[in-house]
Amino acid sequence: MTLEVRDLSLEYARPGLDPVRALNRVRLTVAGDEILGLVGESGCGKSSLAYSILRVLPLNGRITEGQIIFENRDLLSLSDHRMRNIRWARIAMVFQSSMNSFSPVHRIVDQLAAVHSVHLGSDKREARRVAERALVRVGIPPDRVRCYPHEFSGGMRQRAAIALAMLLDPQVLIADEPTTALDVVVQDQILKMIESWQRENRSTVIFVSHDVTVVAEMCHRIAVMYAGELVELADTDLVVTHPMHPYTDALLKCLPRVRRGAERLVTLPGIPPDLSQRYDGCLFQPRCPLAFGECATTKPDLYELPRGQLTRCLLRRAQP
Amino acid sequence: MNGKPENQIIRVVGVRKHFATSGSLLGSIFGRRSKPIKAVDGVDLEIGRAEVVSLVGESGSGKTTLGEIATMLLPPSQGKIFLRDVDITRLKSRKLRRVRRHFQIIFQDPFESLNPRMTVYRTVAEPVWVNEKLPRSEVYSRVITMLNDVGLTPPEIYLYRLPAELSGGQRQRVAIARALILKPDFVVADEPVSMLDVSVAAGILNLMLDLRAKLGTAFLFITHDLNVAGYVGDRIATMYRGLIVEIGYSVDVISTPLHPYTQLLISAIPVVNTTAKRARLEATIQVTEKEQEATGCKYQFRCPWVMDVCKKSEPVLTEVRTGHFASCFKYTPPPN
Repeated sequence: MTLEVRDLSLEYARPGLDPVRALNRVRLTVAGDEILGLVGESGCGKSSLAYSILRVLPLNGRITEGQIIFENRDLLSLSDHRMRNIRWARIAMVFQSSMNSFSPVHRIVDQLAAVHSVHLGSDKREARRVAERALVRVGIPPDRVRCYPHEFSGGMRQRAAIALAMLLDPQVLIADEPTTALDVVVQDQILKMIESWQRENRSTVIFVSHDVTVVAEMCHRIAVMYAGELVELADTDLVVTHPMHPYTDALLKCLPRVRRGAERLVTLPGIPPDLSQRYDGCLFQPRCPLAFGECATTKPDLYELPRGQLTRCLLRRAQP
Repeated sequence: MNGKPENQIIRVVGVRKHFATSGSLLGSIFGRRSKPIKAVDGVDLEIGRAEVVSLVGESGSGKTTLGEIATMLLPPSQGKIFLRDVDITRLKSRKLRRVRRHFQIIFQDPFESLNPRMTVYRTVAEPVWVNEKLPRSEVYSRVITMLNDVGLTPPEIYLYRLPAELSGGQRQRVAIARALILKPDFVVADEPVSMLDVSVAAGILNLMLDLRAKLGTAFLFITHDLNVAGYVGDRIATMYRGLIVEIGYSVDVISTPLHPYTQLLISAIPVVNTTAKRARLEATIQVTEKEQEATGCKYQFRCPWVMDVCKKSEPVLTEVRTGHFASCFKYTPPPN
């Protein structure tokens, strides 16, 4: 096991208002050699979880409980200095808008080289050489590596951002919606690139996305989040063919898919709960088509099912 | 030309849009003309009453420019646009303004397309104020009906909210209400759900399908997502570098795409069913300057089937099967 998130809870403070409980006792283990998909709608806490692992939360974010165990150490208790050595070298991230995060006044290859020399103390020429190789590896033509960010298309910049995340061959790569702004053909190339990098390096990829189709195709396991909680975690095949949580089922049914024909999309009524409030029952209950009386009063646990799936739904509770 | 829908509402004929580029300083000193960018390079398209045509293609293929031309937000460099039988490209500004109410546009980003200081009521009522002299009570009831239609219910609680107080999906519903309150004949929807969550997007797509059935509106639905295109579109048109390279009924285009570019796009859609792995086609993406100026088919540099004739002349859109058109020499005899 590479990374273990133990009962992680996170709050965002808001001046004059109740804090928003963005994560609520999230428990998650990622094995060494796998791609884990993390899906859910905006505001469900998937990015917050990613930021917590890297310890790059906004200033008003406060972790209230839990641990993040990486290589037998709790990342949350490390000093800033030691965390800095782990961040990027051992755990790196492709951010949602990474393609816009390059400095416009420096060549892309130099920005990558700077990261290399800061972390490994390499001299300029060596850093430049590694940076060039990293860019070529993600499909940037060798004669373009010395370009400035504005000379790249969106797809090329996003690939450069991925090259930056892979530069130091981290053990864990978190990709937060890495293809959301791109068209299908470019998206497909980037997914292929991440897959083959993961296979070659036998590292861990946590792939955050709102698009279940993308996640279903490339990930070994899928974790579904709703309102700051993990509601389902299982092997991809099981999630896709036998979703155990009604929310997962709804997510799969509301996606248009060309290969499925013209059946009308199912929509999910209502909106996610206000996370500054506290609730007694299941958080999904107000929107759930299968809700029954007890759902409003009893908080479901994460139940383990025979085929190893974890799901947070009272319907799946083992009968006493 | 490409499929004759009955009750045709909008007809785009031979439309081109070339943007001038500023070129380099040295070039201008030596009197070199800079090459214009051909965003739309000769497009014909017809959309019928209550029909949805999905327009797909990669970023930079000219989808948005075509949508802006079809609603006369951009005048075309060449070509004509007929709304019913009126050529709207020839109208002077005052007359154009009078017919604008018949065609509307819905933009991608509901966070930027609404005026942050206008309430929902003002946003939705404004088109009515501008275009129709109606008593207040009637405007009010029109707005209420429209908000009901777009699923903002009960409408009374939304009337005096500002965009900042609405979620992304609710804002997009307001944008749709604003576009449809005058019951336009033709609406361009430019990536209306790409910024929204999947569960919200499904609601918006269903809403648009319901409204076109109810109001008979013709839609040009611009998207880069083929799943969405297939779901909402009666027909799908594929655009590549300023040209429509394939158009046909959605079922046909998705089950048997003809043009190699459409085939590439369809092969790039992720598959959820994990037992059936799709065959991915390899793609090369970069378009170099040399390619911009080359003669012949624009797709020749990426095409797996490229032949000699593709480098010499440009294929035209031809009916390969009933109602299914493609511009590719694989299907059409090359010119002599």
